[in-house]
Amino acid sequence: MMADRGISLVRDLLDAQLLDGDERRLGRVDDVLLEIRDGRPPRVAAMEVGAATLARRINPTLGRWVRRAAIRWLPVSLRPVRLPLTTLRAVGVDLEIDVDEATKRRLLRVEAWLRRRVVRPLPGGKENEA
Amino acid sequence: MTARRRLVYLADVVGRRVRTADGRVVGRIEEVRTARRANGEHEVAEYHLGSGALLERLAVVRSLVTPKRMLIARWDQIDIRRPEAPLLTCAVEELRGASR
Repeated sequence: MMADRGISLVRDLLDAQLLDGDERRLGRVDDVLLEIRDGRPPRVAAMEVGAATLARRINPTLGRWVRRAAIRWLPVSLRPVRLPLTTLRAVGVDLEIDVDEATKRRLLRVEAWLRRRVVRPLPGGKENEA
Repeated sequence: MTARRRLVYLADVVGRRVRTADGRVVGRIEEVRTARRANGEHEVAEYHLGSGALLERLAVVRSLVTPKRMLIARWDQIDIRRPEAPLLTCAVEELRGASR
């Protein structure tokens, strides 16, 4: 159940596991975007999920390098996915979110690519698919 | 005239030393609390500073360790427009938890 009195962004959101309604893992919250507004409290604009965001958190130069490397060499996009806090359904050890299928596909595109290009060609790879 | 808007990453703010206008260090931002508005949006309500805030964030049971100092600043008491150098916009004594 989501508390109406607000949340602690670092403790409750940052690095928390995202789950959909079927408890399927969709990644972790790699950072949170705050929108600065003149004369008004900063608004929590979105949770950001993506390898480039995580790399940027470790080191901004590493973040830029990962983004460039992904554009140049990776066949799958590493563009971060932004999720508004209105998608949050429950805040606990994990975060339950309510997102459409298209967003889920964007969140899991690297996993899907690995499944298609790496796991499936392996001997027995097709049998192991759900 | 449109209001100026700017996006800041939470990770750029957390762990930064907050300084007063004259350069005195108040403490590090360890936690950011939000308030949920009627429209479902979350807005920053307060910043928690100091080692007490860090222990709270790490969920360390306070009775097991010596109580540490925690300062609580309202959203308008810290300017995070430059996240690498958050600035206190009021006197330190005006923060909750500060000794007067």
